[in-house]
Amino acid sequence: MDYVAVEKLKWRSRRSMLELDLYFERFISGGGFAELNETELLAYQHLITLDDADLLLLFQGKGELADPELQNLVNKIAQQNFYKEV
Amino acid sequence: MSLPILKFDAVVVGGGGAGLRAALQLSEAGVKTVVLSKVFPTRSHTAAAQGGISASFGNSEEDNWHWHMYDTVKGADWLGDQDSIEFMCKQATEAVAELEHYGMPFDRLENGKIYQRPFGGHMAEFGKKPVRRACAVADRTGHAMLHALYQRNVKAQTHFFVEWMALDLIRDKDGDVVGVTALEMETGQVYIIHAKAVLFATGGSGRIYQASTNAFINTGDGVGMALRAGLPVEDIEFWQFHPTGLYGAGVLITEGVRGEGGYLLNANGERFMERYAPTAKDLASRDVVSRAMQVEINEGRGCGAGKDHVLLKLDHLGAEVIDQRLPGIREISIQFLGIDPVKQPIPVVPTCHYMMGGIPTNYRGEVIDGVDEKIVKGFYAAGECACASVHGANRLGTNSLLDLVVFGKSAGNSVIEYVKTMDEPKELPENAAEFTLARLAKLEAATSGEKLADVRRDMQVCMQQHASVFRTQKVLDEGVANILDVYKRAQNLYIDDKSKVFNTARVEALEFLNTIEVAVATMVAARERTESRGAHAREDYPDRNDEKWMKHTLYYSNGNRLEYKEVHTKPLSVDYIPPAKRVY
Repeated sequence: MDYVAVEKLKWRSRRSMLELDLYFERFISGGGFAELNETELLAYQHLITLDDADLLLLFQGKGELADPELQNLVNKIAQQNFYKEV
Repeated sequence: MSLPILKFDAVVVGGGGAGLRAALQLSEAGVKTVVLSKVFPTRSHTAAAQGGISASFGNSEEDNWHWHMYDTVKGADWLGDQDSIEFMCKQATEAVAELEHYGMPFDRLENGKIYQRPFGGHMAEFGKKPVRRACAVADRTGHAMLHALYQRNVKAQTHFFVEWMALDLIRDKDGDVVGVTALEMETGQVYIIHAKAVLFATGGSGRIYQASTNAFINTGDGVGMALRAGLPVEDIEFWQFHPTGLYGAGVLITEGVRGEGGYLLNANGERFMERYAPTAKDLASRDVVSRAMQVEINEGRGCGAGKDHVLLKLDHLGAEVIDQRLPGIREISIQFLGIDPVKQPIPVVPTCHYMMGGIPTNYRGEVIDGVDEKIVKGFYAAGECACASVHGANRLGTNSLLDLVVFGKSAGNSVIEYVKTMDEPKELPENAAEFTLARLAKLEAATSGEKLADVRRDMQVCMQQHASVFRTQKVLDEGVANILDVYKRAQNLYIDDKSKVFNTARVEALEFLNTIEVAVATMVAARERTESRGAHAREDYPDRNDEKWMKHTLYYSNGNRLEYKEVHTKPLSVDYIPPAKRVY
């Protein structure tokens, strides 16, 4: 995926609610996004076409996607954000 | 340099609730309308509104629009225009019924009527007791509203330019608005959109603060553009802090939690709102609750190691009520803080939530300029970016979604009347895009300068420290000096990436140049208002001063100039509601 396409993915990670912005921002700035391979980037491209309410439910573990690759990506993003008790 | 020109009857900037409601009104009337939106419309921040939309249906108990009007006037701490407030409250039931007919699946009572829940500041019998006035779609009212409105717009054949960012207003020699310049992000091409009328529905600018419930897209673009075009912004010193932002993350915990019976506790386990608002308690108006929380924290009764937050208790509601009536709250609290509200109270702090001020309009959505309220021909605004002014010094919960649809429609109707009067848009001025192109050229040409992340952080820290829940002359004087310094630095922004196509660094820099305008306006306006009213709380001037300050602030960016105009004290059909002490 070329630079412009990747920038587009980052822009489209801007969502309607702060919760989702935080999930995606932490994934992008936390390094998870940069580690995605080409197949995972395509999955990401698909994931961010989903409705915000559905995405929130997915990140909150209240639903599961039939496509294991997409679900794996959801788990990665959610785990990047999950509170770690100190 | 000539730019491509696209011609429409009306251009709506912003694809949230107000923009979509206005566009629907226009398209259904046969007005050729385009909506410009930075993100796909259903990803606008309206979708984040959880609690509901107020309308005095009286489905569970007696209610009427006059009581709703009284609550809104009182909530606004008598800074709202009573003609606009009457208009909104009277239109509310029709507006909600329309949404229902558009397909919004409102929660129901067993008898089939719309379920209504109580919400802060909404009372029966002119402030005597809480009333159930909020209509909701679980905790997804805004989301459901956006989807219903978007689908209606598709049906009505509204044009959508998605991932387009409006850059500047175009005004002709008479000062009339005849279009906007806009950036198509996909290509990096700048266009002139030439139109008979321009309607701004660009939302708020909560990102000026460090602790904010607002999504990243809320960068005050409309207000920034209006200020650069020489127009004022009204009552911008009034920012609502939501009492229950999730500690450390900013994520909003809906007021619906308290509507369903949740309440706040200090470090001593005391339900402290009983002291501050004996009748409404935790359902008092948002500014009252926010300030009470801050007092508890300031006086050492805050919770946690830093004594810097209070607790929202809802475990007594039980898992079933929490999961059914307040879905999402539990997961958010667990994921962002590791706390399950079914077992433990949630740590919360007052967090910037809503911009009461905005581009001044009348209740018809026409933008007005100056003390004499001269109509700016061809320019309309609705929603959070506008100031009608219904929220005055403090907005009541659930009045924001109502504002969007009532004034979106009203502004749409005004545009319809205006565009009827002309066959073609007024001519573009010769230098229509010169200002925009100069701004862009400066950004492109910079080979060194300030980094966006640094200046943005400094702005947010400055606003948080100098213009949040508590304000004093000293704090604000320092704030003005600091924010003007940040503003100066913002004029020397430098971006590494000079590419044209989907250059998000450039877009974010352009957004920030809007946001910083809002921040400066806020600080300058707040410094001058030496009273406490609604969300503007001055420790050194703790009382409201109606004699001197029952007036609207108008801020112009040229010279950071302030003017003041009268509050509208003549409602449309009922008697004036005179000022009284605001107690709950």
